[in-house]
Amino acid sequence: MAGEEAFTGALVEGAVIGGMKALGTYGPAWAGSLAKIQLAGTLAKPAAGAAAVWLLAQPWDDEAITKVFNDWRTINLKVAHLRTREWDDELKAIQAAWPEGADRRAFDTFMGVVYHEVQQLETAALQMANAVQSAQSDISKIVNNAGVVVDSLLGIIIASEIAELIGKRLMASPTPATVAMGTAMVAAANATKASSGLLLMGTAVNTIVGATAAIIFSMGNLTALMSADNQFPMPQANLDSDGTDGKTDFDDITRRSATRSPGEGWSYT
Amino acid sequence: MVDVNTEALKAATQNLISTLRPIAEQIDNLAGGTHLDPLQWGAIGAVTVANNYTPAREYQSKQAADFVKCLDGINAGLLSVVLHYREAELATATRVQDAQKLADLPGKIALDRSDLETATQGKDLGPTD
Repeated sequence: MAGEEAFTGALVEGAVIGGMKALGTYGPAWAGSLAKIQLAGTLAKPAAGAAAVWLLAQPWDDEAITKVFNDWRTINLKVAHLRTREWDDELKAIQAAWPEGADRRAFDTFMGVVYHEVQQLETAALQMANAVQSAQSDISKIVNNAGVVVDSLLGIIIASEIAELIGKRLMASPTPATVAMGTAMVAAANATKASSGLLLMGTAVNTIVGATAAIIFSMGNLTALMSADNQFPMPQANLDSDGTDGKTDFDDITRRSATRSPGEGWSYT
Repeated sequence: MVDVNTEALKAATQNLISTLRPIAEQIDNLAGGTHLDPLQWGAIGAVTVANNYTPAREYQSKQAADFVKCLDGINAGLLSVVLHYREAELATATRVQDAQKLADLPGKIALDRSDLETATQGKDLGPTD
């Protein structure tokens, strides 16, 4: 299960993931304010872009998604309870009171179809729960990863800003050697900033592609649940028929076999 | 002569429906509440969720609702079986002049009829099979 893998991953990476989560939450706000301060012109655009992607990938109502996961899980457990704990006892009580004949066998067959449908509903509910959970954890993982990469890059950019600042101070020095050192520092800082800006944009693109792929992967198997031809049979519509209309519901067969010799009790065919 | 215990069959039917139907109703209610707005997944996930989750949810939700209807149908079907055997029992009793059964059965048959009517009344008579 992908949700469990994410969980195991979180355990392995330990404190790193925790830090990622915190940074993922506060990072964009930080990026936004940095862009406003205009610490560096090269920083503003990629920071704003990354923050926008972070917002786009962010699930807007995580609690509602968690509730839906819980609902599907509960449905799965309730159907499983009905199928494994209640079904057999109820069926046995009916079979005990109704000796086996053509009509009872028709009833048993009918209940077999219903039982199969119940099993499918149980499996489907579990798949719905799993798909919702994997999609949710995939989105969170990507949002958090994007957050930490953005934050690391912002850290590099800020460090180079400071280096640039010191470099400029050094360039103001009367000593030529110090001026040369300052010029080199400013050039290096600007190069780092530019490359970090590119990395930041690359991360933003990866986040879009990654998040979309992850959700498609998590949710795609749900469409298979609809294409399966499963429907609960319903005997209601046939209650008034005499069993000669070709629809073999269990109560029809009762009528056909039991009216064979009403004067002498009845016999099964 | 087949010995169908109509009394026990009726009790078992009522027991089955009173045990299974409430669970099926809870399942139906839960499935009905699993709607998710695509936007709750964020802008990037919205389209995928709308295309995959929403139709799958609707299908399974319909299945849960149909399960309740199916149980209603099983209930009505079994009650019609009970009624049928009771009528056959009455026919036999008339033939052999079983005074006790002749006194007892018409009342039970009337009750069976009204129970069957209650079981079918207002219930969705969906397509068969």
